[in-house]
Amino acid sequence: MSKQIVMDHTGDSRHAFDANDQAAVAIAEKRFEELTGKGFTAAAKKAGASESTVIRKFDPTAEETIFIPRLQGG
Amino acid sequence: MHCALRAADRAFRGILDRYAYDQISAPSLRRIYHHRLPHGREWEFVAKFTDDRSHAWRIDYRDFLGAPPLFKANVESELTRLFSRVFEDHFATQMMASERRMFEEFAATTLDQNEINRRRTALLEREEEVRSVHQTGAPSHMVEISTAGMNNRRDYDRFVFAELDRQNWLATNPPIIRPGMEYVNESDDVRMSVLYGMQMAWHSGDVGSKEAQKRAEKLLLEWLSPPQRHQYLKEKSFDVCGGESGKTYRIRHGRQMNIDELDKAGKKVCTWCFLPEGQCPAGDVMLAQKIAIENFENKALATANRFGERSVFSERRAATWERMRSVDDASDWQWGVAPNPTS
Repeated sequence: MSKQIVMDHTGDSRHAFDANDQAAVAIAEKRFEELTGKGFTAAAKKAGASESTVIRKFDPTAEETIFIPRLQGG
Repeated sequence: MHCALRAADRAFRGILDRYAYDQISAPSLRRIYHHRLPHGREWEFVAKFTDDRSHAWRIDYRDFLGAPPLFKANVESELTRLFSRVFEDHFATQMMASERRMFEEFAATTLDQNEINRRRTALLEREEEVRSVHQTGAPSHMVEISTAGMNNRRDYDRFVFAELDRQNWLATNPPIIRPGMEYVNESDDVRMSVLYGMQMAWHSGDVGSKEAQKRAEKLLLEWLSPPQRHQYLKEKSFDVCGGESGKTYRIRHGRQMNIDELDKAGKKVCTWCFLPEGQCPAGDVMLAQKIAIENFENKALATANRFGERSVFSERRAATWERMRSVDDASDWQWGVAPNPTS
């Protein structure tokens, strides 16, 4: 199962989907587009790996994709 | 309100602890008195500290008719200013004591009498400057009263309010107005240190429920590399390599002002501050900072605020005196007037 993790005030919200299920992938892609459209940055990593890569396009093969809200100076 | 005051008190003691300054003699708030004046339009507030100094101020209730939250916010704001001032005084005292000790150590180990005299003069000038800037005058709109030796509540009340009547508040005896903490001259290291330390203490805390904090920390640990995870579990901080510059950054547990840029020797160069929008808990913030530095360092730092090394954080404080003394304070700001950033 692939996971989309969205950072928020509760820690995070997780959305799991099966990469072989076309309908689930379409929903996940729509979520990706919506969040990045709002200014979230998406970063993906393989399961168990520690290196993450920022992605601009939806990658259904990524095991975990994290969505970071827009950054601001503190 | 008491919660906010306790937090301020904790933050202040944290700063003192950070610099190994004396916490025992640090004043703390003993009691806040307030009563409504007979004509019913104003409230008098008196805050008494353990160093036998009290500060009094009045609030006109008519300014807040129909808006009790604003009234509460005003009282909190005045108290915060008062706390800042009392902390600042104590910090300045401790700092000067520390600088005097450094001078005495230097004088005891050096034979160069000219250098000793030069440093003594510089120290005396600095003490006078700190005394005049940081240890004189109450915050604006407040009156300072010495209440040493008054422990009986009734005597105390009678004395304080009689004293206020005698002074007829600001009309006949205006206090020396000190600029609020919002006006900070960059060369003023006492105020910068207090402000910086307070910000660090207040903002390094976490937000959200305990469950949210645990959840965020779990996510962080899942995304850290094994060495980073090991370092974080041991030290509550981890090192990240900048993806574009190759520089090393240390991310400390916290949400703000928690990214230290390190030089090749591992010494702090400066502090960076950026975080994701919204009230994400510290674990999420640290993870966002790690991903940003590793993947789009320059873009992230372009949005960040940079905080330079201040003299009190430096091991070479004595050398910094000289630099500070060369700054002509009068040229770039006046009391009560915000410095002009373009001058």
